[in-house]
Amino acid sequence: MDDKIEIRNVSKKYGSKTALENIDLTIGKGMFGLLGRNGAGKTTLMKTLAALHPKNSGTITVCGVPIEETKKIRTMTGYLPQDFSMYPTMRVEECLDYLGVLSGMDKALRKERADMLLKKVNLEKHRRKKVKELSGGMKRRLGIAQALLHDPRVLIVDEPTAGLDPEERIRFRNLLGEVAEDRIVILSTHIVGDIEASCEMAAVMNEGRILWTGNVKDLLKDAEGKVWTVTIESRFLPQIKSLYSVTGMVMQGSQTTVRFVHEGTPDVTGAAQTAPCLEDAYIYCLFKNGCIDLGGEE
Amino acid sequence: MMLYVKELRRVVFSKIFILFFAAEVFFAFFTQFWHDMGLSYKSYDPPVPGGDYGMMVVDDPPTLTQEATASLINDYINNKYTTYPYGFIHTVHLKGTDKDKIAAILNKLTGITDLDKYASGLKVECSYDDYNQYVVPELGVLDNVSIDDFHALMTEADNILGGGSVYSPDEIMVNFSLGPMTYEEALAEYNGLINDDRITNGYARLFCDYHGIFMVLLPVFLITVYLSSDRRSKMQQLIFSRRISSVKLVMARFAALVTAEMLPVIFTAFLANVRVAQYYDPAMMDPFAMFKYSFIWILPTAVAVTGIDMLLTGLIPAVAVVIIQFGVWFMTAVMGSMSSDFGVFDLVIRHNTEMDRKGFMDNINVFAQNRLFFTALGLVCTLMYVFVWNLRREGRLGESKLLSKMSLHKS
Repeated sequence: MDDKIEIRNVSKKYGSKTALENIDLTIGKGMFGLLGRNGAGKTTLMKTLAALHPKNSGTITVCGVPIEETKKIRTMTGYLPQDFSMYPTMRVEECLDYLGVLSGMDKALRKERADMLLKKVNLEKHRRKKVKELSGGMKRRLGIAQALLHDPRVLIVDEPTAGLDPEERIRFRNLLGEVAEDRIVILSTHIVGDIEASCEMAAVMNEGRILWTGNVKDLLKDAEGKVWTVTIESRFLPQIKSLYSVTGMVMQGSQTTVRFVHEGTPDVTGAAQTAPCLEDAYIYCLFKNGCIDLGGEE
Repeated sequence: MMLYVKELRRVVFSKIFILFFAAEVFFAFFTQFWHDMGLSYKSYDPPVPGGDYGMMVVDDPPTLTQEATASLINDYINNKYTTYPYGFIHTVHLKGTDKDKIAAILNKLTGITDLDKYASGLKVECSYDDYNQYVVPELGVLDNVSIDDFHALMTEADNILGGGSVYSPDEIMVNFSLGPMTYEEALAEYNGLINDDRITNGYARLFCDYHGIFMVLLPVFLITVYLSSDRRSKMQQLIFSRRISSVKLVMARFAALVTAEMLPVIFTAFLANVRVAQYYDPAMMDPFAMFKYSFIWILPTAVAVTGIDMLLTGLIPAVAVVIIQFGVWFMTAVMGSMSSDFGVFDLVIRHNTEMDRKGFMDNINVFAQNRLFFTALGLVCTLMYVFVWNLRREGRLGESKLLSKMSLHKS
């Protein structure tokens, strides 16, 4: 069986609203980032890959298995939704055991996998705690444990770091990196830092379309020579914002250092080119594809 | 099996189950069966010749026609008719043409043309609550109309009164066609309870009569709360994405719910045995009767209610399911007859006495058909729920805006 997901020409509509439009992607082993704004269609694509949403057209194969074979797909896929929890009065180990039964695992295997995963996600000491007693970060880690319980070949995680504090976010990203060694992990997020820190391959989505896909380094390369900084008097800030896609501002008294993307030489005295970060590259990608106007607005 | 055990644990360790259990035990058992056999209760003794054995419904058209017509005359003169249109008492006062219609019916039954003049010649037997009870002499109703016409006219009178009166086809016999029970009949009733029913089989019917009423109403709260817990706990997507088949999961949940609903019945069956044993020799009792009747009488009700409520919960909001179930309960349990003249399609089977084994056994084929019908209905509804649940799981039903708005399980 192939260790890749192939998505060909997939479209999906909710009534008259297009959620996915002619999506073409090939996702191989390792961490794959899906970056886009809220409402870009990431969750719809994630749910479609987890066999929780039907597509209207196109084909999807997961490790060689057509998405229509839902039972096989569910066997090989682990899914962590964006907004999830578990029965609040159930204990952590009971939750895993219950979901293990739903995955058709026998008792010995459930215990072995739960022990191993609770250790891996650092919840071993909290296994007797009720779900309602867990913090947000702990719940996310339990979420990863349940998604990996049946040892899936594909792990789909939707916005897993939203709402986590920086420390928990880093811990979570590292955890995903570890589990991605021997499987396909698709990480959907609107936080550029998550992709930058953990993914080699990625795609940028907007309004149901794939704007760009490839190696993250190439996205950075595309933005080289397009990122500028300039220090101006703060009163000129509105003019700069109306002319360029601003990606960052640091105010120092009456002066502001502005970072923006622009093709060609900007008509601003003192503007200097600078090396792009992934956030700049993402904004440039949106800008280049006409998804944001000058000034960074939609 | 493992999944069934896990689902059952989830149900019985929930707060809503504790409430359900307490309500079923309290309302269906302690306030009814346990209370009926309270301190003043006396066990049945063998009848002795020459005693008073009480009244029973008899097939005696002259008595029926005389008593019912005399009652209608009394009600007409007082212009005060007591009815139970929706299970609750209601006093009807007729005016205009409706009053004239009753007068016309009485005219056909008795030949009396001027009822006011007729009333002036009657003697008042007693008065209570502004109602004069007149002594009505022999009317000879059957000289004027046939027994079929009599029933038709009484049904017409009941319709004029808005239904639910003592003149309705369901009530007229038990109110007006009563005769004293003979020694032989009393002895047969006694032997039916003591020997044929081995005491507890008779009491088990009374026990199930009460549980049957509440088993139609109370499970809806358990079912809707339990089924909506996936959505409320935000666990739905985690469950949808597992390998398990929809049939297996839904059937495990169905079995767990039905088992949980039967737990208070089984528990009170033990207590009912204890209660009956306080009055009768335990050696003469059938120790399994309460359990046997619980399974053949109450289990089909639990299966039907669970299946129907699961399906409704998959399609409409929980509040609407509760309202519908309350309506069904009200129509079938509160407004229904308490005697054993149930039909194949009556969800609630009533037999509000430990006696009358013969009346129940005469209807045993209908009972069997009824229980099989509701068991099948419950299973069919559960299979339909599997289909609905699977559509939601695959994101197909949730795409309907209307159903999404209405549904308990938004995806």
